[in-house]
Amino acid sequence: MKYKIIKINDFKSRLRLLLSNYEFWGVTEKVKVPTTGPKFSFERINDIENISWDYDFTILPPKKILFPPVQTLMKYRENEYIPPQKQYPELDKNIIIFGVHSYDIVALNILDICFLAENADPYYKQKRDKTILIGIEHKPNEYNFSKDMQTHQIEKGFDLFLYKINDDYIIAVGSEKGKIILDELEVKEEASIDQVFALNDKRYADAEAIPYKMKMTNHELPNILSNSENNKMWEEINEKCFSCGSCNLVCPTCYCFDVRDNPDIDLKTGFRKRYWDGCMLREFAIVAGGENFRPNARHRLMHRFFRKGWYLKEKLGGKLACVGCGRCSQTCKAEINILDCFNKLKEEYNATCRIS
Amino acid sequence: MQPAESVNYIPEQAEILDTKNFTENEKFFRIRLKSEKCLGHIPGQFVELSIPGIGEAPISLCSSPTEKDFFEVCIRKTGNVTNAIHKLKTGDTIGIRGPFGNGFPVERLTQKNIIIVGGGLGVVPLRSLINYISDNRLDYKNIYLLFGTKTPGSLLFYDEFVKKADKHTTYMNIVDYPDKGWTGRVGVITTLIPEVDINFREAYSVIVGPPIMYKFVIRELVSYGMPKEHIFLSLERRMKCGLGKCGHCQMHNLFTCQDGPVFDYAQLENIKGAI
Ligand SMILES: Cc1cc2nc3c(=O)[nH]c(=O)nc-3n(C[C@H](O)[C@H](O)[C@H](O)COP(=O)(O)OP(=O)(O)OC[C@H]3O[C@@H](n4cnc5c(N)ncnc54)[C@H](O)[C@@H]3O)c2cc1C
Ligand code: SF4
Ligand code: SF4
Ligand code: FES
Repeated sequence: MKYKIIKINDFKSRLRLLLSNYEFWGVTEKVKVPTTGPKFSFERINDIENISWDYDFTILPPKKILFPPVQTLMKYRENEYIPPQKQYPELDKNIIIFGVHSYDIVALNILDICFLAENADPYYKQKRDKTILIGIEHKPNEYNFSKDMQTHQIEKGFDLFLYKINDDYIIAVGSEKGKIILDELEVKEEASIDQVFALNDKRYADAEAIPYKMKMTNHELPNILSNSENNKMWEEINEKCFSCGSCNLVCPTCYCFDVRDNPDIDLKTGFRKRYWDGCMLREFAIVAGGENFRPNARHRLMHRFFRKGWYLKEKLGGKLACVGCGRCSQTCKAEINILDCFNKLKEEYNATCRIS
Repeated sequence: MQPAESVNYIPEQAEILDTKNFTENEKFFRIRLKSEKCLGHIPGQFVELSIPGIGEAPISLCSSPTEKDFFEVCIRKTGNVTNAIHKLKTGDTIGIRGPFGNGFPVERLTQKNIIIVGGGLGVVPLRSLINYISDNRLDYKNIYLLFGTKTPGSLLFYDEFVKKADKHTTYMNIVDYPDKGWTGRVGVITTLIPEVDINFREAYSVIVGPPIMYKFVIRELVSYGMPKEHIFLSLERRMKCGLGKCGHCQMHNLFTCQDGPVFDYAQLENIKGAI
């Protein structure tokens, strides 16, 4: 890995150069909530002043940029199906997603596998190939357990990653695409070996200061979950859950979708689009004849939690799909907290192991 | 500029060559791609049929791939897309994506005795296998066709199967509710299994039917000594893409549309809710 260094103020003023040449997304204050502080969101940035450099987390993860909530798959005219000529207005511009936290970068790396490893999804690929990810550091909020899921600090998966040391940014260059951006910004100075070692010491100290929240390592999670089938906790959260699907929407590694046709008024032409869908919604697994393979919230919660902490492990080359962002826990009106659930299952697992 | 592989989601146009009303709710279609390309499927695979403005539905292929000039499907009316397909006539156009899924293990079944069990509409995907076997008859040993339906009237492809039967093919059927003219068996499909006189340990089975049927048929086959790895079944799940993306068909780590729809029982045994 190569590291460059630049004064923070210089970097901020040069960043402006990128706004007109790229489709530039950054984090900005979306709503001010007096009691809990502002809420943040990834938005198109037209003015560097609007960027929030120090945010706790965004309401929706950056998946919404590469896999939008509604996306046109094709136009149809009578019996003809026409692929979209343009997926989004500035097709020729590359996309920069700026200020992404490490757990969200890992989540995008996971979506890359899901969408691209087999049967590459052309719509995702088209955007992803043009995307440059620039990461920044974060401090986990009360819901976030990225340290436990080993997504709190990362060494790959980004194009650039910004670390703040006093008045400087030390910038890790993760790819050729990232290097080109730094060339455009004329960030030339290499960080010295002492500076990089000092950075590593600081990163180590930062990580040490964060407590573990999970009562096991992430490696143990699949085994705990696969032994939890008869645990009474599922019954407890079954009672609470509204099956509203909010946890699916905010999760950076939920990517299920529905496909629906939208006829124009002439009924001859229209668009086939895909929409974010959620496995927590009641009708998600119903088939013809009305059979529902996950009829109760309990079955759906198990499916979702197991998908996050167990089922996708093989597909993801040993990683788990949950990156510990905590968004689902924060958003849940029923106060179902995924971390608490994992911990409860671990406790009960220990208890039963002691008996037998 | 458009993504080259967008063909993944974009249906191809096909022409309906012929239709037949089997029952009030089940209609049969013979279809050919307008490009005149051969679909090139394996028995047990399915396609996504598309009606512009309505949507898509996953539908099993019911013809054998040995028929290269066309393929056939049989569709039960259950909702928007299937109702719209029923309105189509000879000469009309329909959209096709696929074939998708793994299909029946035709290679593993060669030179084996095979018990084929179909319940209700399950006979539709099984027809592609049965016709394939009959077109390659010397590659397979004794075939036992066991079919169960609610009423005699809902027994599909009866004449065709009987016509094809040879000395080494046994055809048995059973209904829940007999009508006046019915002289055949009445009862549940599992009662046909004891009538099959072969070494179950070496035999194979392929089962397609409503979810409720699987449990009982499997239990019976296993009790006669058939290994779980020899019992194949095709599962139905909600499907929106056929490509392992939309998530609707996922059970545990398996995507029914890609890893299935055909699984052996050993794969599914420990997956809660699979059958
Ligand atoms: C692998 C596979 C093979 C199939 N083969 C056949 C076949 O050969 N012949 C046949 O008649 N039917 C077959 N089906 C069932 C058929 O796909 C559904 O009946 C059809 O999708 C219903 O769509 P609809 O728009 O007509 O109904 P809708 O109006 O959408 O709804 C009617 C009912 O069907 C359910 N449903 C909706 N979409 C799907 C979906 N994509 N998959 C499953 N269920 C759904 C709904 O939840 C509802 O209960 C197969 C299904 C699968 C998964
Ligand atoms: S867990 Fe919470 S957010 Fe998710 S569906 Fe249930 S009530 Fe909604
Ligand atoms: S399951 Fe919850 S904590 Fe885990 S990645 Fe998804 S939203 Fe974040
Ligand atoms: S049908 Fe979409 S993942 Fe299987």
